[in-house]
Amino acid sequence: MKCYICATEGKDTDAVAICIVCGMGVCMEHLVREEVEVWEGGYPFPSKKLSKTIPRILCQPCYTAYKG
Amino acid sequence: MSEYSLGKRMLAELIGTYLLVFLGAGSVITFASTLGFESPSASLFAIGFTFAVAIAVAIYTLGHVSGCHINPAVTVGLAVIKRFPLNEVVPYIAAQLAGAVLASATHLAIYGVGVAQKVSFGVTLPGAIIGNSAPIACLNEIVMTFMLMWAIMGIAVSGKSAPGWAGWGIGLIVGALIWWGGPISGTSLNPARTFGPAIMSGVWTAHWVYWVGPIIGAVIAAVIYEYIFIREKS
Ligand SMILES: [Zn+2]
Ligand SMILES: [Zn+2]
Repeated sequence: MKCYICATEGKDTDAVAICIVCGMGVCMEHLVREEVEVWEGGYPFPSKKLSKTIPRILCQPCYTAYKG
Repeated sequence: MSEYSLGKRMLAELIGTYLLVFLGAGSVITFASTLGFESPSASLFAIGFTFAVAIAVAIYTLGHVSGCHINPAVTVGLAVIKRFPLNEVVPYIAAQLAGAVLASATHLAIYGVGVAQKVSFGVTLPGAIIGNSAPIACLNEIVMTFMLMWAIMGIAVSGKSAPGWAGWGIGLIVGALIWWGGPISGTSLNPARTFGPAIMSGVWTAHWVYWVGPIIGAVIAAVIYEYIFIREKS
C-alpha cells in the first residue's frame, strides 16, 4: 500500500501503517503514533490499568479532527 | 496492572453506600410521612423504585472505581470465592458502614428527629405478617440476598451478560425484592443499609438478622454460581 497523503501530493511513498479511524495507508511522516492507557474490567471489580500502554496510530487528518 | 488506591476505592464505597442509604432509607422516611399511612402499597412501590435508581446510579458512577459493592454481604461473597482480596474486606466494610451512618446522620439534619424517628430512620425490622419473628425474617433475608447475589454473579461476574445492563438490572432486582419482601423482613439485603438507621434511631431489634441473613445468602449464591456455572463449564 502507498501513503494516501503523499499520493495526493503526487509522491509515491510506501505506507508503513494504517489509520485505525479512516483506514488510509500512511508513511512515517504522515502518521501520529500515541501510547494509550488501557483500563480493563469493571463492576463488581475495580477496573485495572494495564502495566504497559498500547500504541494507537492515526493519520494526521484524523488526529487533527480528534485533538484539534 | 494497577488500580485506584485503596483510599480512593474506600471513598468510592463510602459515597456509594451514602447514596444508597440517603435515597433508599430516606425514601422510607419521606414516603411513610407523605403516602405511607393512607396508601402503604404506593409507598412500598415508591421506596423500591428509589432504591433501584440509587443502586443504578451508584453502579454506573462507581462500579469501575471500587467495584461498587456498597454492601458488606457482597464484599464477603466475592471474597469467599477469591474474587476479592481478603485483606481489603475489613477496609471496604468500614467504608460502607461509615457511608451509611453519614447518610442517616444527614437524615437527622434534614427531617429532624420527630419525622425521622417515626419510622426509626428507615431501619429494617421483621414484619407483622410473620409475627415479627426474627428467625423467619432471617430466612427471608437469606433467600432474597441469594437472589441479589445471584443477579450480580450472572449479570456482572460471569461476563456473559450485556455489561451496560448491570446498574439497572441489579437495581431493579432490589426494587422487586423490596416490593415483595418489604412487609416481611424490611428487605435489607445489606448490613450497612440497616446499620446506619440503627445507629441514629437506637433501634437494634433483630439487628443480627440483617448481618447473618444477607451474608449467608450472598455466600451461597456466589459459591454455587462460581463453582457450578463459571468454573465447571463441562
Ligand atoms: Zn506520506
Ligand atoms: Zn485517518
